[in-house]
Amino acid sequence: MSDLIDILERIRPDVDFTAEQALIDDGILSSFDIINIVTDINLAFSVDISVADLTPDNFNSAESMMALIESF
Amino acid sequence: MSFTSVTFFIFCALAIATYFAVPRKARWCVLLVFSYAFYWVSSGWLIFFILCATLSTFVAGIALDGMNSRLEEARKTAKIGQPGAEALKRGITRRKKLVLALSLLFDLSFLIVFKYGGFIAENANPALRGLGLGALPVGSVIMPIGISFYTFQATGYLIDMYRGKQRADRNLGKFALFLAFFPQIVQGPIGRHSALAHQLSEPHSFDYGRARSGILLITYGLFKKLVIADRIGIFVSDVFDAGQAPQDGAIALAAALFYGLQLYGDFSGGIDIARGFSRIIGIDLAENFRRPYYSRSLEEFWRRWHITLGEWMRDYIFYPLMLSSPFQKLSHRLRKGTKSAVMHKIPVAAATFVVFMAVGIWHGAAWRWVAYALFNAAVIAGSVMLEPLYNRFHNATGISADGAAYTMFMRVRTVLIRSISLTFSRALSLAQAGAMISCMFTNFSFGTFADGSLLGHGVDVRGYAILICAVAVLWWVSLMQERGVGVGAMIARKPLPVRWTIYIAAVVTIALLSADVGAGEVNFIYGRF
Repeated sequence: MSDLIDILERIRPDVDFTAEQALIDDGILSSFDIINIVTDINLAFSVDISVADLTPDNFNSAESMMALIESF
Repeated sequence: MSFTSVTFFIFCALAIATYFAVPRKARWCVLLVFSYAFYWVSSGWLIFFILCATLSTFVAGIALDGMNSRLEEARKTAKIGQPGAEALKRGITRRKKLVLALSLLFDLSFLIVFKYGGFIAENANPALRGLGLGALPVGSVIMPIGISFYTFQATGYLIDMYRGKQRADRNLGKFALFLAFFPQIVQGPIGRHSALAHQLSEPHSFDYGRARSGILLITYGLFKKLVIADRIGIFVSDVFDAGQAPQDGAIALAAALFYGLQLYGDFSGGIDIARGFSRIIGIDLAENFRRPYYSRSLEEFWRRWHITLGEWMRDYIFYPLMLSSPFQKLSHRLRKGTKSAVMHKIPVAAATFVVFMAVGIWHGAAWRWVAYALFNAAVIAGSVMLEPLYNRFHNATGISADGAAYTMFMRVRTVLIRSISLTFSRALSLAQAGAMISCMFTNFSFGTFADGSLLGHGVDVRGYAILICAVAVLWWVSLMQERGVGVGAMIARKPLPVRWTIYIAAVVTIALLSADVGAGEVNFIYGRF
């Protein structure tokens, strides 16, 4: 989890990823942020997140992103 | 049938009355009948093309749904190691791709022929003549109404089906209603099947609160369209329709700024009318504007302007492109090869150009639309690439990016950049747009704003006074919305006499201030896209 938080904080240092639960629903992350996050996750965790995985449910919080990573 | 015509309002009143009068089960049928009647009255025999798109998309959706189910079965059998399961999976995936490609090609072919046929012919004919192959016919073609909007709804549905994000719609009538729903067929918003179709088919009961809120939204839409957009549009037409740049750069800049205001009033006003009618029935159409002129950057502007088109481009072009194998490989190589944050942004910048080319082409087939796309993409890609440098600037100078003065500076800057980009979209030619932008920088005089020059383009002192008051109302309502205060709800909480005084005053004001524009009924700008 700490590796993921590092990635997220590097991309958006202004967001508290340990607390936010509506990163997509509240419009906190832009499409550019999401793509940067997915690219870094794919590289760091050797997973292959596809377009079909880009749903609000999967990216609303650090926990949901971690769950997506663990599903591979 | 224009959204501001009396005929349209009578049509809507009939639709609403019939909708609530018939049994609940038949209510979606009323919407379908009225939607196709609207289409027939507006487009005549061109209704044939929306019927074709409906039928082909409906059939392809069911085919994709069947293949999704078989693919799921194949995945399960592959997991338990059944021989041949992997080959079956590959075969089904190949067939899915083929069905998607053919159905997209079929739907988009109508759009390409109607919207881009003339442009392609104009640019291909010199080469064809050179090869002795004759020439393609060039001429203005009457487009089926809303073709850009319903085609994007249909293709979005097909791609979602391909991705297995939803089940297919198995009722042809309900699916036809999703593509043809009359309040949104002319200029959107571009609806998603998953969010809209079930609302259209569910029976809704009359709700006084929703009806009041819907009527208020329609009134606000009419205010933006008739009082602001049509009035300032006289100035804009006078300058742009001359076909050349004005002598004075300040007039060129004023025309570009005013066109931004006209377009916002016209487009968001039309969307408010569509959303208002839908709200009365009980249907929530997607939000298409979120106070775009409060944006701090052009990138943010595009997240607040024509939101449904932006989201379509994001989900069906930007994301697939960025997650495609070549882009992911490039991104990974850059991340491993260099620590430069600017270099890491290269793939995003490249994808931005692709997306904006699609946005430009969606709007129209002309070189000025290509220039419009390139301008927007260059500004946004540039700001994305330079973001690390901006951050360094703020750290070094101590100037807060969130400070009030800096925020104001960024908003003004965004309005100016947006206005320059709009010059490409409104000018009659690329040459005129270039000349107008050039004179904004080479022949600009602040004195123009004080010496009465602005009065020479069809808007007199009284017109400007009305516009200033109207824009003040627009600004105040937007500010309240930015702060999370709904003006409609605020009025609804007032005592009955105050509330009704506001309602009546709003309607009378719109009727009085729109009647003297003198240009007659002015078509919605996005209706031609």
